[in-house]
Amino acid sequence: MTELKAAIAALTFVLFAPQGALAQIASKVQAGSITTQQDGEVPASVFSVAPGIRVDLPYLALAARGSAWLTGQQWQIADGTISGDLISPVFNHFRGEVIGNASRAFFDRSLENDQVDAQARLHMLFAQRGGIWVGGGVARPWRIAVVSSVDVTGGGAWTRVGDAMLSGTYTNFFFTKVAATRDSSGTTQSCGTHNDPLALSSAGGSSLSSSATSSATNDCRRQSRFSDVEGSVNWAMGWLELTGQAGYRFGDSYDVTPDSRRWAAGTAVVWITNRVAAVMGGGRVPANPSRGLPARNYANFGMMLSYNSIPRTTVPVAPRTLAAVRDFEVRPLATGTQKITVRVGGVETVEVMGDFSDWTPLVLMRRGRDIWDITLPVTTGVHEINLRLDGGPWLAPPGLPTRRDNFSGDVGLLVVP
Amino acid sequence: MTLVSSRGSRAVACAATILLGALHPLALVAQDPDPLSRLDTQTRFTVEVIIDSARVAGVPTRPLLLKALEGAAKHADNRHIIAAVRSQFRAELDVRVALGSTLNESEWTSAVSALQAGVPLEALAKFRGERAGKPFTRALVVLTDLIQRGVPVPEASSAIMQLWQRGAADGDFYGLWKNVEQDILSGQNPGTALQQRMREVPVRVAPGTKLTPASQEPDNPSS
Repeated sequence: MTELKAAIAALTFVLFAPQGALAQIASKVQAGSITTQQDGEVPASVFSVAPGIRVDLPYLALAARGSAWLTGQQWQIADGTISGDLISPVFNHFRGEVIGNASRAFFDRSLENDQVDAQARLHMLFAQRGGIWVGGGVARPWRIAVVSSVDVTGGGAWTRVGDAMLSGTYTNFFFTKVAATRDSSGTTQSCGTHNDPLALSSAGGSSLSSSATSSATNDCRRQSRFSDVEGSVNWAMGWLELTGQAGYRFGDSYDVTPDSRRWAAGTAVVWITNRVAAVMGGGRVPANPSRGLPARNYANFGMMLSYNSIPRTTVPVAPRTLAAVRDFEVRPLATGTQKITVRVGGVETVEVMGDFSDWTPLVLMRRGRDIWDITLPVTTGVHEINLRLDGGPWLAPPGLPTRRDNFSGDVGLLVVP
Repeated sequence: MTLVSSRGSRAVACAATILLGALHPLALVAQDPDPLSRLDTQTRFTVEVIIDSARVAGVPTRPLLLKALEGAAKHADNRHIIAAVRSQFRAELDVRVALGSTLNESEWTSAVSALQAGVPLEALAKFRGERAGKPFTRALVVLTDLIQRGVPVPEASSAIMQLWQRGAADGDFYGLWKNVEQDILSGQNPGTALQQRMREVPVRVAPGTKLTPASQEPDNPSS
């Protein structure tokens, strides 16, 4: 029961922490029904609760998320991830990014594994219209039949068309695993080395190791390689957001099973208020051989209570002008604190800085759709303030008197009564 | 399905709880003990010399520090940072001459802003003569912005001084500024926009106050 108590404590923190003053933390909780079906099996439905929390610093984002399933009368922790994302400032249209994740999946006894992974990416941004990135990294799974690190390389491109954002990615996976001597079409495969104690010990103590042992004479170690091409479109208009994606997997029949050759999925988010949304979606998820997860169809329907509705995507967005800012508001809260709220759509980050922060950039938190805010200790009097969208130039916020800043720009003059 | 009870899950759950606790918002409000460390050695030395001079001269030093930090945050080159800090220091000395040294922090900020926007020292000095305890922060903030938006300095200075003498409230200054801003954004001449909008500002007169005619320059204000 220790885990359940810890989960409840974490959930409580997630729900109430963002309401504190000076919040740099955002969170969301999604709850609803998920129905999944693996090929050849009966569909199974669970009630899922998935909290997530995110901390944004100027160039560092830390996040933790997880999910718990109610099946029958019992709660089960299904998965969890802790991640960090280090992002460099934009320099001559280039931006660097380092991403690290540690995760655990525990969907059932046969699908239990852990993984740590790290990736580095170099982004190139083209004005406000799009960008490309290339990168690579390594992942290390445990307790599955993969006996080497997984090398991941790839690249992507994105562009904005009106209210829609289009993106495409190409990702290569390369790893060694313990697998059957026949491929998915039944053809006998040549094996390098028959399974050895190292392979089995790497497979760990899960049920997979026992199955590997039982079929030892038929297993071998083999290098796997496959590539995923995926395209997605996200379209946001008012209270409705639609996301669709489709992909195709390249690789031989040993590495790519027929059920994972192509896939498609879609999600609709209907915003009821700025913080509450209905979420529904469905589609097909391909197998993840490097993680030991099978392909499956899924459908979900639920509600989302959001303080940070959409986590930052891995595709950064080019600097935008403040013309996109629909509203900038400063409102007093408790003594000595002010809540700065910015309404702007289609951006990934909003930052402010000023004399009140010793000119240190502070990242605003996304609170539901198109609303960003931060609560800060700001004394009464005149303060100088700048606003920045997506790492673009520092500009005076709209709706405030301005002055020249002596650095070829302007600052807003905020008078706190 | 059973509840996870492995040692690994327990460790992950505890680690997550500790991480969440460590990232409590209050933990993020850390003050930089040495903010000037953001500058390179030579620039820092020069800025510190200017700050020392300001301390000796009896003018605020924190705005100078903040100006240097602002430059560093905006990736300005060292030459521009030093020039901006020097400019700020000179403006503070001028403000002290015009308004005295008994200003609060907001008054220093707004007065320096106005001076650097182009308000003549003589015009600024009138706010001291007419002060009588009336706050002029909002008036100077609006004056600074109007000049920046293209309203000629004499017209802007005269109009704001006139309003201030008439006892305009902060809301009046803000309302005037919003209206003029909208007019300018709509394509109107900045000076004309100010003249027209000035007529809409209500006159607030304290009992016993003698009014200055609207067309008269505020050189001979009533009190």
